[in-house]
Amino acid sequence: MLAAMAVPLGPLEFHLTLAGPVGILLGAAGALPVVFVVSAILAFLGHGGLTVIGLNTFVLAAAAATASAAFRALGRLRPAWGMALASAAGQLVAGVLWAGIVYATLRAGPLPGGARPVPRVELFTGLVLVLWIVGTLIESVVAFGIGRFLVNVHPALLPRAPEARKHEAEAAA
Amino acid sequence: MIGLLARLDHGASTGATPWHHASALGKLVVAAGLVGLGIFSPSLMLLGVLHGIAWLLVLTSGLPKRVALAAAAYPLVFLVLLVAARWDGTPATVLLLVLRPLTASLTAVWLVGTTPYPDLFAPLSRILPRNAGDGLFLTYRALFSLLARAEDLQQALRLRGGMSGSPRRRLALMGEGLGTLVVHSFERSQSLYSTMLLRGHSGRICGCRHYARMSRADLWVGAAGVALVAASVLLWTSP
Repeated sequence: MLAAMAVPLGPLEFHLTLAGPVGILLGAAGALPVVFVVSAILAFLGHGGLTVIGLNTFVLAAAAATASAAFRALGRLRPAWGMALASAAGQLVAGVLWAGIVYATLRAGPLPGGARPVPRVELFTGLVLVLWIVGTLIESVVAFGIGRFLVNVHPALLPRAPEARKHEAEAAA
Repeated sequence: MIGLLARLDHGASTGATPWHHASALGKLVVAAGLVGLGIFSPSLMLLGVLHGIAWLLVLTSGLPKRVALAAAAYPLVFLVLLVAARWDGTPATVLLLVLRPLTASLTAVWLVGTTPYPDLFAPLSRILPRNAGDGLFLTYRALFSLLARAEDLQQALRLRGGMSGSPRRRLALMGEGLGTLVVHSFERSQSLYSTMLLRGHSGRICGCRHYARMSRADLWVGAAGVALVAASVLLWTSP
């Protein structure tokens, strides 16, 4: 994840999270410590904030866990397509969680000193929705590329569908 | 990113300021205090003073100013969005929304730029679950080679025409390139784990214990802590 974040895309320097592929390859339980470590290291660099390590971990881990479950559910698809769609599902969940948290922050009470900020939810929604759709598309296409490469080069890294495992077990028996 | 990270890491290991000689534990306590007070401060004036202290810490840490500024200014992009969505027309609101995260990111830069990573992660790994604590050490250890590989990959993609064509083609090719990184990372982890087992790895990475070793330089950290407490006591009820 950290290495992928080092590759800036386009003039806005969009950075991939790769939460979907990480969740698919490591499983939900394996992805959680990975996501925590990535969030902590980035926070120590001033990227992401010391006080939101837990929040970032929660959002990215939710994306990873969703992608892992979705990939297994999409077991009949080709792995590259499964990886792309599962990553999109993970991004969907992460986006909804993140937007919910930010909306709650925007609607929070007055700031210290009594200032009462006016939340402009429409403005925020407009900006974030566009960025989120673009981000989901980018993450999905990149996940497709990763899946296609792994199928050709190292398919053993990909988790197999439950049916495939069942057939293998029956064949072995 | 790799340049920034490498410079921070280099500064942490080779710097010779009192902050570099002070114990990691003391600096962690001061950093936690500074960030915590910044978050819960009810006063704009106190927040301004805390932000000033954070700048003072960074400017005396021996880090190149450009590196410190680049690392500390990262939250600004998101802050513009947040300020636009919450601004009520008063400068006080802008300052409150901007100073808190910037104080936290400056504090993080000071901490990381003056503390070698084994000393920084050692106390944290004692309170974290084993997976997470060990992961911090191992990830940071592998990070530079992976980041260098990612940059080489990006350059190779560009030279071989992987960055031309439609966005879909470019992104799919980038995904395939990242696939090589995935395979490399798995193989590297496996060989590293085998090496650790051969060398008698007990199942837990314990950081060195000198993160808590105090020296005269800790007086400076103590002074920073006293400044924080004094500012809080004096300015907590100010506007």
